[in-house]
Amino acid sequence: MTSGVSIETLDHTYPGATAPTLRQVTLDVPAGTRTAVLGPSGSGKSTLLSIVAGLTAPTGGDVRLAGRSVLRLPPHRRDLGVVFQRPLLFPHLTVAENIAFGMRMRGTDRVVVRHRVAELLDAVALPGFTDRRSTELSGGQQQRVALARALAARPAVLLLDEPFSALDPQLRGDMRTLLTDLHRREGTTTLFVTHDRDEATDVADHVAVLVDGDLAQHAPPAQLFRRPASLAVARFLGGAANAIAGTAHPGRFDCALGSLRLDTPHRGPGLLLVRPRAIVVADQDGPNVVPATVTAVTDRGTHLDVQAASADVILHLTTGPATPLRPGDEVSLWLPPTQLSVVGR
Amino acid sequence: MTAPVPRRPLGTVLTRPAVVLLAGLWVAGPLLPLAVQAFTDQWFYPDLLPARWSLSGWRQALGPQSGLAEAVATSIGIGVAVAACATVLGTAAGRALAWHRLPGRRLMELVLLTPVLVPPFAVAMGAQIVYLRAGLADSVTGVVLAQLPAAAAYTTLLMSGVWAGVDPALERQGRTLGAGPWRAFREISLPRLHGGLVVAAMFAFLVSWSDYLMTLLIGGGVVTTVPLLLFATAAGSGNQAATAAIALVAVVPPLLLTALAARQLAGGDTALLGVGR
Amino acid sequence: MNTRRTGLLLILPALAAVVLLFGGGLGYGLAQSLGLAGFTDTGPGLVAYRRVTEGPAFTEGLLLSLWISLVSTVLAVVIGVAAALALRRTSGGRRTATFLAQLGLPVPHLIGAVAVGLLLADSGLLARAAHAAGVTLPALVADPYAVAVIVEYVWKEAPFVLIVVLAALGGPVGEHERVAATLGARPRQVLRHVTLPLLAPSILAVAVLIFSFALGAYEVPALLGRAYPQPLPVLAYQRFTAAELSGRAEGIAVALLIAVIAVGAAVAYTWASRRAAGRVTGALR
Repeated sequence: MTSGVSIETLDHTYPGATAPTLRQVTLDVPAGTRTAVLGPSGSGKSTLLSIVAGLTAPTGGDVRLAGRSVLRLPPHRRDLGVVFQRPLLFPHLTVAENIAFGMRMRGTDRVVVRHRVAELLDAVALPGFTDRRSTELSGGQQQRVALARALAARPAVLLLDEPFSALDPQLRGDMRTLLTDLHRREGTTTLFVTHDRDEATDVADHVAVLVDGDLAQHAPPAQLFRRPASLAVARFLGGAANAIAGTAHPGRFDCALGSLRLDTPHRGPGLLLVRPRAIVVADQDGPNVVPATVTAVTDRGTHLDVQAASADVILHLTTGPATPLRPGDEVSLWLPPTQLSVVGR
Repeated sequence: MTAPVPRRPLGTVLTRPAVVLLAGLWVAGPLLPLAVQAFTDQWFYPDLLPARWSLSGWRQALGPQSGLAEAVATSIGIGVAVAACATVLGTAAGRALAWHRLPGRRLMELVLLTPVLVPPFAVAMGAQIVYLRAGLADSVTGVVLAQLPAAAAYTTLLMSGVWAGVDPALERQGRTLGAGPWRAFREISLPRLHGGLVVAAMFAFLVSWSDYLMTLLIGGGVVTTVPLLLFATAAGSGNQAATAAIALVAVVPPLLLTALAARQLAGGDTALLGVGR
Repeated sequence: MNTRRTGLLLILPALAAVVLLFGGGLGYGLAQSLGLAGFTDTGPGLVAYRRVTEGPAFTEGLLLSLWISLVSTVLAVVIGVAAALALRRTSGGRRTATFLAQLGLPVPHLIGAVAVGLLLADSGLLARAAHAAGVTLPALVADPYAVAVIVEYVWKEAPFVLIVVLAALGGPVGEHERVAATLGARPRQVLRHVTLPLLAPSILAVAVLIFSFALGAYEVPALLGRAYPQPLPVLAYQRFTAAELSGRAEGIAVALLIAVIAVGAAVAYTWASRRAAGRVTGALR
């Protein structure tokens, strides 16, 4: 049976280190869902996974599987499947024996094992690879076997630590599709660690952003982009090109550009964030339309990167090639209220 | 809630002093009695302690009629010659194995390994007559030549590993900047080989320092090295104090050289096989 | 620069040294043992081999040699592997222990034999200690089971096994063990199904080296063994240096037979290591 993972106020500091790797991280992954832990390298995301797997001991906090604390359990009694960045197939075993490993350790009936192995080989599109050795497989094939191996014993939770980052981009896309398909079949609760935001939003239904050991935000992908919880999250997701200082009030944000309409729970001093693609070159006046002077234009072929100055604020925007702007042009820019978010300074 | 640190996943945990003590006992166990025995005079069975401590064993071992000083000089001379030749041969062959495409490479490697696998005295007995006819038997030169293949096999093994860790592109870069092949080797690769060369030379020296049978058969008892003297004293004299004293003298260079080179020794060095055989 | 010719020129001196100085002796020895060269009182043929193998001295010597080599190899491997696995789990002192093990490696076997002799002889330290404790020990030096010889080999070779296995454990073995644990393998299962199979090639290689060395070494049994039966290397030397002219060929014949067994073990190893993975897999089923 698959079960949920609850991580509660988890702390971790490496011996001898001054700064903690993880600070009071609390994260709930309901049974059957997929959460990606997204963060830059050194953010503590692999340590988090390692603690859940039982390979690293936390300095504080708790990890619960199906509501039961597992901190005192060694890895082999946590009922997990883990896939690491490298496939780490056992070189002395065949593909089928690798996949069967977890079941054999649990003493599963031989007929059941054979059946399950065949089923999983089909699922990862490697039928007929039963008696191959791991050294005869390509990197992508090895990682598929590793995935099948982790899932074979129907573990309660599947943990993936940057599983595709060693593969080339084309293959990475295929693997994301495979993982989604496997999840549809198996329904295993999945915790997925990655530094690639496209991978995180592709594979998971929830994304937890980890920055410098702090859990900055845990939300569905769309909300992450639309309503980043902090400047750090926005920066990591590439949405901090326009950050304008001002003060948030109910229904509006006062800044150098004037009083802009928007909907934000934020109150008081903050930063207004708007993505370059969200800014629209308008042809008439209205609410949230600001006059600006184009200062620089770079033709990227598919689009133009434009900088425009408005009341001493430099706005970054992108336009389609059909809008030929030149430095010095006077333009009106519309900042759509639904595309605006405010974070603390 | 503060979580307890989970138990170690496998096995028990030995503490540091226990580990060091056990390892120390194992290594020093048989060697310490040597150190005691060398300073005894009359030590009758079954006394636990000798009746008299004395330096008489040392006096005999170091005295003029024992010939230990000459044996040490001979051993060092042969060892240095073997180390020099084997290191040069091994450095060249190691570079070829690590950097070059060689026809019949597997066969070459096998040939170079034979001195490691075939007991050397199978060769020494056959070679004795050849050395006799060539006028090399009973001579230091003959002993150096007889010890050389085994030593060269180990230095080649070791140096091919060291060369594999040096980037050939650096020498190529040097050549484009106007260095000839020899200059490029001397000024670019050689400094990077330094640690490996020291270890290789040390191993070759120790292979020579330990050799007994080759020296006995080719040296014909005329070339007396430390192992020959030790064996003769141990088997023939019955003087345990003198035997222990000579053994202690013989054990110093290996221990000293290994301790000095400890930092250079990679854990799994295959060349370690050769030492002390 | 990386031409074949340069490579050949570089490797040639070492090859020549081995082929001429080592192979030459081997070939000439073979010729002598077959009565084709050297001082001989017989015509060409297998006379020397027949003469030296027909008596009980050879058979008993061969059995003794095999006993010494096998027991030494097994004990050294078991102790060395166990120590390496234990050392990996220790909280500290691994570097010191490894250093101590390395320190013991270059001690010549001859010195080891002298030291073990002083320790285990009838009037040695162990016998004195046993006497003080009121125990009488059986003879350990020059005894029927070659205890002292085996002790010396194990004392020298177990640290060697330890160092080789520790080096092998430094590779990806640890990662594979962690994967096995996350897949539900208990510590004992990890050891049996992952650690030992992954270490098997290194262990096998070390075992072959120790076996062929113990089989061919002269000084240790010469110093610590009995006058009869003699292990093959001692027998070979005795025949070789015997007064009669035919002894030389017989001595070389014994030496070459040892070489054949030693090389046979190495060949068997190469063969086994190629199939090692398959064998281990079979054993798991």
